[in-house]
Order: sequence, then structure tokens, then C-alpha cells
Amino acid sequence: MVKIRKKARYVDPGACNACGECARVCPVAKPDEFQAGLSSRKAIYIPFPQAVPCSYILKMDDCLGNNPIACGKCADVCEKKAINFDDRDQILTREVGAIIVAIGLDVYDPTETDEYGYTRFDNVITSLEFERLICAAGPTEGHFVRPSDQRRPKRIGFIQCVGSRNPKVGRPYCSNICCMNTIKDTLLLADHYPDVETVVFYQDIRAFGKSFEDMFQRSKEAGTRYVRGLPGDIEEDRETRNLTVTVENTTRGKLERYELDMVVLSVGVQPPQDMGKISKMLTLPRTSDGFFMESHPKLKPVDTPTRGVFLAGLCEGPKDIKDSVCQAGAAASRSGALLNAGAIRIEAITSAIDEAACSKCGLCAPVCPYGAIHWTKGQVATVVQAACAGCGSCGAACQYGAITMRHFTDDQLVAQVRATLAENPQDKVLVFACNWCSYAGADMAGISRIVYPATNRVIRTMCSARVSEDLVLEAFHCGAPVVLVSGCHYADCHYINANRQTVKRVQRLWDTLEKKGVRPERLQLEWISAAEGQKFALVMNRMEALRQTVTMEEMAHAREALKPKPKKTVKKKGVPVVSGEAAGTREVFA
Amino acid sequence: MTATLETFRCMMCGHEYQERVEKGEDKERACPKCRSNSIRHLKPQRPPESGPPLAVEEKGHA
Repeated sequence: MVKIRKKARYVDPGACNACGECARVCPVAKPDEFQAGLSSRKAIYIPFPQAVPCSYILKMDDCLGNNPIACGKCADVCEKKAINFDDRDQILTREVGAIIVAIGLDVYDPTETDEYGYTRFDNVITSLEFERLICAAGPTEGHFVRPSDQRRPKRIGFIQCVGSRNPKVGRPYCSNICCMNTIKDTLLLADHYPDVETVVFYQDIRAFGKSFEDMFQRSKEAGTRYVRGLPGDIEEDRETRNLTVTVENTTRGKLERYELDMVVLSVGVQPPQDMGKISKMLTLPRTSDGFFMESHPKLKPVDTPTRGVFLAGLCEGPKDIKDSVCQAGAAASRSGALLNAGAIRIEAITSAIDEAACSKCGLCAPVCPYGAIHWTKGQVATVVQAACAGCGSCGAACQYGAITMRHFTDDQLVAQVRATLAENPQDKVLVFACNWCSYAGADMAGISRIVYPATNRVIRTMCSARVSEDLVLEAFHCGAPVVLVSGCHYADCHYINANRQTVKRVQRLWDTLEKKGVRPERLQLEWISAAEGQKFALVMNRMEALRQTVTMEEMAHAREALKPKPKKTVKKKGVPVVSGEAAGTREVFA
Repeated sequence: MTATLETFRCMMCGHEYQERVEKGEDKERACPKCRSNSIRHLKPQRPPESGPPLAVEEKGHA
């Protein structure tokens, strides 16, 4: 069930015929957001010319109100009586089978750092403002003029990578679209005003894609000058309001100055402000750049780790219109396939809760990255099977053994540990490797014929978060000299952020081992991706070196210090408390 | 955003270092010396619990 807030329009779109009388009498003037603030709009307005439905909306924050003394003029002149000042936001509830997230982007705001004098010089504008100025539906009806004196500029400079590829402003990524947008703008200028001189300051021109290189060549042939180097300084002539740009031309190795009438900052894109809210609402992971992370960059580029949620457009990463349209089509297709299936097929590897064993503590619910465990205080937790992805984090967190991870049960994993260390445990390094990255990293090392010590024994789990504290302690109790827990890198976690639970558990285990007099260094943690066969081999070499430092006395001490104790059980009224192996429960460690 | 200076210890090479940690940050850690991910967050030691307050001898009025 999805709740949608339908914002109040204060104008009935069914009655409004967009005659515009209301806007004509409205006394309020505010900067028009659609025109990048270059013109004004009224409090009652059509957001943009192509808006559907073609009807006015009233922005109540700007309106003077329906007080006859204050205003109310729009309602007086509306013949259709379409204006309703008592309109309120509505909450709609819809049952949906799929959600496509296409929340778009924000444009980098150069006022933050006053880049290239954007806040000081009128004739420094952004590429978005350029777009409005040269557009026939823009505030100047397509007549390109500079803001300081409304005259047509003769020399225009474009500065690339403003707010992109710059770690200093927290945006180290390439915005993908700015190079081609500037090339398009230079061609537009050459077409509209053949006498205009244009110069582009760039660090690299990224003209990849169909026909893009051709456009770049056409721009150069049309007379645009491309200077490799980003300006270090801009000065304004107070009389003429012209701008002098100082730049190091890295191709020629010389410092150059250009006097220009106008400068256009080619601003980059950034994730929208509300991204965090959507991310939390739909449990969607984000990349280090802040954009939403797809399930797999090659095989599932529009899917998300939350089943039934798909991505389209720039919220997934910077891309141009063509790629956005392709992705939107793919997301719609994936949603259609899901909705038409009637029933969905889920992996068998999901968790199940034993109601009798559940202590109702609720520890499992917050560790689930998918929000698939429902728990209310005093109630037994339940798992939504369709939402569970099978990381096993809940199983590792449960202190009562009430959660079973199908195909990776506690008993199965403990049996693997015991069997692995049954003979000559002192010669083995026990490795818990996650299915997606570390285990595949071991495979990569193997198929790449990389030589590494043969002393490791790998136990596969779906996620490193499945490795419970009990399991590691069991390994030490069985005589393992060294235990390694390995998983995906933070940005690659296949279960949103389940491997953060691994870090917490390993931290707790280091404390436990130290308290018990066991050298905590014998437990290691590594993030190894599927492509890092070299790293896997390097880590194995290190583990082997560490193993050789562990003495037989240390191993014997660990066996003694980490003796199993009876497992926690649930106390119930009138039911005797049972514990230990006699009651058929699993052993755990204190 | 609040940040504190925290101490970390590499469980592979033993290198100890300090790093600014912002509240709620979600960052993969690696040892600056050996690049191992076995980084233990060393929590600050608690000061020893204070005993019962010392008895103060009351002085009578002269």
C-alpha cells in the first residue's frame, strides 16, 4: 500500500479553461522558477507552457489570501468559479505492485562557493540560464542578451566542469551531459548569430556516443575555439561590464587572457535534496556520489535491491536524455513483467521464524536491510517472505536460535566448521566468504592461476552478515588458529548495507576474545570484490603468515576459554525452561 | 555535522592511528599503512570509578 500526498491546487482543473484573467489581476510578482528566475510570475500561474493539465495553480505561500481587504481578486474575476481557497492536500492510498523511482536531479548551484564570480558579476550565468535566454519560449523570446545591459554579446566564454570532477566541492564524478550541452550551445549560437565569437575552456571534452564526435567537429568548424585549461581568475571591467578571463592554456603551456562579454558556467548535476527521504522510505542504497545504486551495473541496471522497485533517469547516475529514455523503457518493461506474472518467484534462501523459540526481543528487525521483519513490542516477529532477500543478518543477530536461514542454517554452518577443523586444525585458516564478492574473488584468483597458500578452507555464506559471533567462536573452539571473515566492499554490498552488521559483530568479537585472553588478531576482516583475485591471494598469504605465529598453547587456551555454554531460551508462564543439548537446542557461547 | 577524533588499530600490522569521524558516517576503513580492512575502533578507556566521597571533618565554632 502506498500513500500519496496530492497537493492542493486551489484551482479546479476541470473547471479552469486557462483564460488567464486571474493572473492578469493578481498583484503578486515572484521570480519564475521555470525561467531560472530571469522573469517573474504571479501567485496564480501555469508552472510551464506545456503543463498538463493546462490549468492554473495557486501557490498559497505567495498568495495574499482570500481576505476581501487583502486581495481575492482572482476569485472575483473567474467566471468559471474554479478557484477554491479552502482546497486542502489529500492523502491517497493505492495498492501497487511495482514502483519506478524517477525523481530526477538537481543542478549544481555555483552560489555556494561563488565560483568564477557568479554572485558578483551579472554577466556570469549558468548553462541553465543560458538555455532559458536562448529559448524562444524564454523570458527574452529567444533574443540572446546579456543581463547587465540587455545588449547582444559578441564574445562568449563557456567554462566546463563547474561542480563536476571536483572533490573539493564534494563532487568528484563527471556529470556526463555538460560537454555535449556546451557543444550544442555553441552550434546554436553559431546558427543564430554567425558573428558571435565563442571560446570553451575545458579540461577534457567527453564526446562519446553516437554522432557526438561529429557534433564536436562541427562546432570547431563553426569557429568555436577550444582552450584546454580551466580559468584561474575572472575580473570585471566596471565601465563596460566585460569580463577578463585568465587561464593557463595547458596545450601551449602559456598563460592567456581573454576579454569576453559574457561567461557561461557549465554546471554539473547532483542528486536531488529529497533523495535521503526516498532512500529511507524504499530502503534503497546509494553510491558514494549520492545517487541510487542499482542491483548490478551490467546485469540489472534498472533493478534495485528492494524487489519491485526500479530506477529510471538521473537519480541512478548522470546520463543524457537518450540514456534516460532507454532506462525508463527498461524500468517500465521490468515492472510490466512483474505485474503480469500474477505470482512472483522468490529465492528459496529466505529466513523463517520459529514462533515458539522467539523471545519477542525484536533484535532481528533493525538489522534487516530490507525492512522485511515486522515486529511490535511484546509480539513475535514475522518475516515478509517476498521482501526477504536472504542475507541472513537476522539469523546471526538472533540470540535464541529462533531464526532459520534456509540452506544456510546454524546447524549446517556449524557442521561445516566442525568437519573442516576435525583433523589438523592447526594447519588451517578458516575463511568465511560471502557468495557475491569474496567467494567470487577466490574463484578469480583460481582462474587467473594466482598462487597462494593452500592452507585456507573457505565456507560460503550468502552475506558476511550471516556469520554470527557463535560461529566464529565455534571455529576457535574447534582449534582454528586464524579465522577470516570476508565480504563485499561497502559500495558493493549485495544486500544494501548488511555488511555494516559484519563490522559491528567483528568489533564485538575482538572485545570478547580479548576478555577471554585470546589474541584478537587471530580474527581478521577483509573486503574482497569479485574482481580482486590478486587481493584474495595477498590476503591468503598474510593469513598464512599470521597462522604460523599462532602457537599450540594459544590454540589450546582458546579451546578452553571458549567452551560452549547452554543456549538462551524463552521463559514462558507454566512452561518449564529447557536448555542445552538435551532439549535439542544448539550450543552457544557466553 | 559533529566530528570527533577517534583512535583505530590495524589488527593485521598493529599500526595505530587517529582519524576524524563524523557522526553517522558510513565509511569503509583500511589501514593507511598496510591497506588491511581489519580495523579495530579503540574506544576511549573509562576513568576509574570514584570511591565513596571522602569524609570531611567538621570543625566546631570557636
